[in-house]
Amino acid sequence: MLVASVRSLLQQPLQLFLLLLGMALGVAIVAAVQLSTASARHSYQAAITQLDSGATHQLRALAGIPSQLYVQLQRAPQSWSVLPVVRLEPQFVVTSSQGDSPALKLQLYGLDLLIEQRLRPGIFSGMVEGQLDWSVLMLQPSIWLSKQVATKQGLTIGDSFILHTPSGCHSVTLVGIFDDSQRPELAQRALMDIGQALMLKRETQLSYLDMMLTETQAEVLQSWLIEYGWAERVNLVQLEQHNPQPLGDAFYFNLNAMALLALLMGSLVVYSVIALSLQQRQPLFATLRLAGVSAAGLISGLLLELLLLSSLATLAGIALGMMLAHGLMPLLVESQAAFSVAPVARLHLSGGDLLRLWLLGSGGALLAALWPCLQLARCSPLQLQQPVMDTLQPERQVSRWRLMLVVMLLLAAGLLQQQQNLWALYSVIAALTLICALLLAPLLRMLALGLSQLLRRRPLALMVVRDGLRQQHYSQGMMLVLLLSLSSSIAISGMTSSFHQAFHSWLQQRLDAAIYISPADNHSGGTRHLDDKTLQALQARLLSSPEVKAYDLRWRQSLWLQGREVSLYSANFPQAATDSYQFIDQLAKVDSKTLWQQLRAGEGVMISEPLAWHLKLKAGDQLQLGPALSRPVLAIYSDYGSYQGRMLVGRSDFQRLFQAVPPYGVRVWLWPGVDAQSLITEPGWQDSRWQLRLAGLILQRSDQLFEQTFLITDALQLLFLLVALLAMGTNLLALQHHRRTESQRYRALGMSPALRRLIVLGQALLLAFSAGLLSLILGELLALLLTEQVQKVAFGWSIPWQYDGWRSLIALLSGMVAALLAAWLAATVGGKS
Amino acid sequence: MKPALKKAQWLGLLVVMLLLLALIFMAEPTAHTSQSSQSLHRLVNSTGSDTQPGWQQASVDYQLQFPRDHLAHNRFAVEWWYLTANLKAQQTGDHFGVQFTIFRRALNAVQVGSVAPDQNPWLQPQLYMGHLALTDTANAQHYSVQRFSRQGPGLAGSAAQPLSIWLEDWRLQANQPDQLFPAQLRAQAFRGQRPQSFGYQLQLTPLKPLLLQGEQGYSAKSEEGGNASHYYSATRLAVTGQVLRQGGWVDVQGLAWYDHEWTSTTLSKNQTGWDWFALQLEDGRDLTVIRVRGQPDYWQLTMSDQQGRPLPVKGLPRLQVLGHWQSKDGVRYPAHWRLQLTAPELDLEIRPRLANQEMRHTVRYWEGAVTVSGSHRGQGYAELTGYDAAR
Amino acid sequence: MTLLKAEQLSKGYHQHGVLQPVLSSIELDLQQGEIVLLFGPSGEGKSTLLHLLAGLIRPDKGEIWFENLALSRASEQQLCQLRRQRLALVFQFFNLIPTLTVAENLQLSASLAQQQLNSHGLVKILKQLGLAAKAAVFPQRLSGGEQQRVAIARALVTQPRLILADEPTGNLDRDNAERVMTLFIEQVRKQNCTLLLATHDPTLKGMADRCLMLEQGVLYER
Repeated sequence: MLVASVRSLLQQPLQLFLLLLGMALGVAIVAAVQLSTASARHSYQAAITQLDSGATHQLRALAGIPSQLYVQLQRAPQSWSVLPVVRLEPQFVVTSSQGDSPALKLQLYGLDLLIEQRLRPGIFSGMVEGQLDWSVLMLQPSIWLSKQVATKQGLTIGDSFILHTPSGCHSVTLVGIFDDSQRPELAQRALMDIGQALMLKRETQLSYLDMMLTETQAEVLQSWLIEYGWAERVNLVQLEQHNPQPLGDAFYFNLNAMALLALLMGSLVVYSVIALSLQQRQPLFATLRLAGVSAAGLISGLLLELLLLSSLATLAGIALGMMLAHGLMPLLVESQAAFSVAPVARLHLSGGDLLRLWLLGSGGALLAALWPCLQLARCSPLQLQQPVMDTLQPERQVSRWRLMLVVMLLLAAGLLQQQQNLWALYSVIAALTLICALLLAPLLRMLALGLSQLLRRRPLALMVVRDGLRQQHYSQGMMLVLLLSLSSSIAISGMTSSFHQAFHSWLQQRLDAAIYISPADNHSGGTRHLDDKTLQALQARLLSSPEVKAYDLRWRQSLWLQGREVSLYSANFPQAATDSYQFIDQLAKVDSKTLWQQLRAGEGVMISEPLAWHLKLKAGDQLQLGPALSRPVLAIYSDYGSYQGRMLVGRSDFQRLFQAVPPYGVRVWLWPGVDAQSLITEPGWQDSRWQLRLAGLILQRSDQLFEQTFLITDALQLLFLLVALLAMGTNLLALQHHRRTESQRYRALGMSPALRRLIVLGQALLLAFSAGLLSLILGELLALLLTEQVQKVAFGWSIPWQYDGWRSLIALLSGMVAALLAAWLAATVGGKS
Repeated sequence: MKPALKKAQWLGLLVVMLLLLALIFMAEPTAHTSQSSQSLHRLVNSTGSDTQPGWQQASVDYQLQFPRDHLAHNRFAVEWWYLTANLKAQQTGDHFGVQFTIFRRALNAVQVGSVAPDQNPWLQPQLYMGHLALTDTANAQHYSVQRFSRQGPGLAGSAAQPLSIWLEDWRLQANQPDQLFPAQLRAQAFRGQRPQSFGYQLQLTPLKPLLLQGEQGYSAKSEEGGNASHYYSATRLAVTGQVLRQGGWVDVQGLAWYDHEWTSTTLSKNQTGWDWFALQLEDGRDLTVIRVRGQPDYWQLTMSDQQGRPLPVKGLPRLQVLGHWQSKDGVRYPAHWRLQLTAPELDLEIRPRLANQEMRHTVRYWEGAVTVSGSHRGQGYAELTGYDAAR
Repeated sequence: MTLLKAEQLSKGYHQHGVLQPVLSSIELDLQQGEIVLLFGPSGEGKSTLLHLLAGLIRPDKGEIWFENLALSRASEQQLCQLRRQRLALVFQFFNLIPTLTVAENLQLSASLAQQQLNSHGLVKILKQLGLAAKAAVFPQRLSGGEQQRVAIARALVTQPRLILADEPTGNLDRDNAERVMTLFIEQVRKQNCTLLLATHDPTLKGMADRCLMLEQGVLYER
């Protein structure tokens, strides 16, 4: 049976090709997105997070962990595994010979390799060159690098090179090279002995302690820390909560949702082609059934045929997906690089990924084909012998079960909405999309009926209008594809443009100073603060410039607040610096001037909206900033600069917490009429110890960053439209094939090829218009949800949704053009065949 | 071929193809975990016959003083603190053998002392290795574990106040200042309540004064010299306490033997290892027998009376090997001896309580509780090194 | 007057790379107003001949003239024009436009032929074929006989010169077939159309002017 069926399918090579292409493309996009996002995320995690594989917790402290604490922990009889880690800020590496190799940022980790061997032995797997000579490692400044970095820098075992650190230049020797192809987290890491790393850092404090703890052990440790007086000086944090990524779960969720939509459209292609193919082979199946093949046998044979084909298509899709992923990866990486040390772009494909994608591709195809197969199997052998009747299928009422499903979905979404999480929101989005999908047929019918009335004296036009109501699985398939692609395109554009507008105007307001001064980002590793001498020189410069109206020093440190790492800012906050803050909640009904006075006086703190959201804080809540330092929240201000959260405190409070931390930057206001651009070119302004940035350039850079961030979604939208085009074309082609005999009929009636093509185009246009109308509504609704709800839940900031009529119009027009193009292709190819 | 078979063939081919693809991608790179072990092995065992300039050497003129010499001698290459004990469960009478050893290995002779302790304690060039072992004779089980640590800012080492030797949470600590014993010994193989964990919390009380081995604590180890050590023992310590075995603590009591030795070269060029016996006779005498195997063998015997006073031992002993035990991978250890001395007159049969008491770690040796019978009864511990090289 | 002439008409189909001849050197003459029946066993090429004569397919050899138009040299546009205005086809499986009502199906033919079909004319022809009550009904709601009558009405509404009918009653039961054929022939006579009717039904011989037999690719008069 299988052989007969497959041979019959092979007689329709175009169909077979479309079937394979549809599946392959759907799988390809899913594969591309999954592979590239997983790989980029992997790389990003590796770049920004600690070398903490296996660690469940970390002990952290503001000023580092004293060695004494670590020793106490190791000597304590309690049950816990603790590994000390020293981490140095990203360093630039330059080869010692000519210094002509490109500078490279690395993250240097100092580890106690004996402990690592015991508790985290995997760290040593994959060493391809060099030796683990403990005496050398401990006694000499020796370093391990990844293969990628060593190759890039032209280094081999035994080479010495210069490492630039905050404490100066140090000569180190390469003693080991890791194969980082299977361990991407090592790609831009350098490993040293912990003692050597401490020597480079000129510190005795450890950066943190990695720990492997069960919940019970963590509780025991907390008690131990309290008992031995460490609790107020260190923080025990659970690791999975504290690996913030600027491109977080929401971003990857969005990407994967888009990819799955593409797969859905690929499945629609499969559905339409399979349905057509089955109809065309109906006589064969009739013969087989009459010969004694059972219905179950027929279905299983068909599904087996599809399994083989889908496996082939999926493999092709995965291969294509890998190629696409290679293209997408740089975009993703560029997005992430906007925020951090550039992670390594390397594709990470495991056997598990392969299996999962195969299941997705084949499973999706089988699901898509199941309904037509079941329909076919339900027919008796005699029914199969009848020619397929061309009926004008009257629109069924939306069946009760579908309605129930939608109502239940809405209810569930409504209930979940109480929790205000992403899943709830995406359920609402799914429910809305489903409703609109179910409304496609009724809308088309309404339009058709209305137009029929208007065109009742024009039978050709009536054909165009009413033909969309036949073979609804094809026409609805096409409309569904268009609905999904257009509405998601409108939604995503709406969200990004709303966000961009909000962010841009916020930044414009916030960049109220003319010049921003920060420590020089030079190749000695860069200090994050302005040291005393630099500050003196800078202040002297500013004070001696008559153009300078005011300046304000800024301090910044990280603070752990309720288990969350928050950026704490402090300044003198002159009048000029405070005008740009928008409050969305405040403790008392006073004017902002009073609020700022209270802040300066140390009577409270101000927190950013994302922080308030994540920690469920409101104005008036008390915050414990440190031992014996508790302050109320004076106000919550609007902020798009950091979704982790920021806090403003007065100078006195900051000094109590952090004593002698130097400032990290200076903001300078100029008198009206002074040209900042030309001012900074004057002597005395430029200095190798600091760098100057103009507000305008910062704004420009932020726009660039923004575009970089959303490059990936733009690329995906294009791919998406491509699949949509293919899906539409396939549906229309299937329709054409289905109506091939009709085509002969039209020829017999005297309709020219041009006229027949016009009918197809007209039908496509009507379908596109119907779908387009719904897409506009759905798209903007989704844009509203994504902008005002999803952004809030995911990041904590409020963004007002901005409607843009042009966006809707362009989307509608592009949908109709795409449909026309698909129809033209279908008519041409269908006509030729 | 029948169509059905052909179909099955193609299906099978497809499945195999997919599986192969999956397997290819699932393949993990081979681990290089043995590299680190090899490095440690080399490091720990490298004081065979190479004598590096810069190390301090044992000297016959050196006067051992206490509590000073209870502490580490960082200028020497190698050092160990050794405690072995034969214990009995108070309730059941089950026998336990206990071994607690902390080894120190200096990494670089030139660097020793070059980094001042207050500069960067993490770079103190001392590597510590700990071995714990428990022989559960009643259940015919021998457990052992190894742990490494750098000296660091107090991760391992020795200290005067309080007088103690430790490696992380394994600790031997004196109860009083200036005297090592009485002392408390606490060590557990794995932290927490893991079923395979074992350990002990013991109180050690000296029954005799310290015994200086060899010539006033100078142990020559060869005729030509060059691999001498400083060596002293506490040959008889009363033990009370608890032993952790199979998740449960057992009250025990018995006798322990403590050794502390330091050197910069353990074996000379033509020496392959040693057989060492620490025997506590029921009549209150304690006997140390060391045979350093070489061409020729080197013998060192020390005996103390019931009060701990050294007793003279004349003539060379006769040590007959009456039986062997072989490990699964073919390392053959002697496992039954007859030891004969003329002055004092002793004809002892020494048998291990359990055949397999091998320590298979970075350093491989046999160390186990033994019984003594024959002309005199008693108990003790035996240590056999260098037999894995002969395989 | 000769309406249609076919000379040396040959047509074959490729099967497994080999050309299987279906029609061999067919000669045919159709006069204006005559009703000709075409008999022959199934699969002998009756439909192929009709399709050739309608210009739906092109012959391998030979020529067909419809009035003065040589079909093999005519453009697709010319052929379309021919089928709109001067030639009509009636198929076995009705082939009505399913999305148009009975009346609209007729109006479509008329509009393609650029003829005005007012409601009076529409009603008249429907009445003639007993379909007056079904004007606003879609084809799938009609019986087989009714559908075929609509197909016939559609063919007649443009008053073509020639109607080619391929077993129009092949799908109908005997009684229905007889009724439909009677009506059909009646209308054809009224319009003075030429009709070439492929059929298996020997009872129709009495209604025809001539009978042709197509057997093994050869056409001869019966």
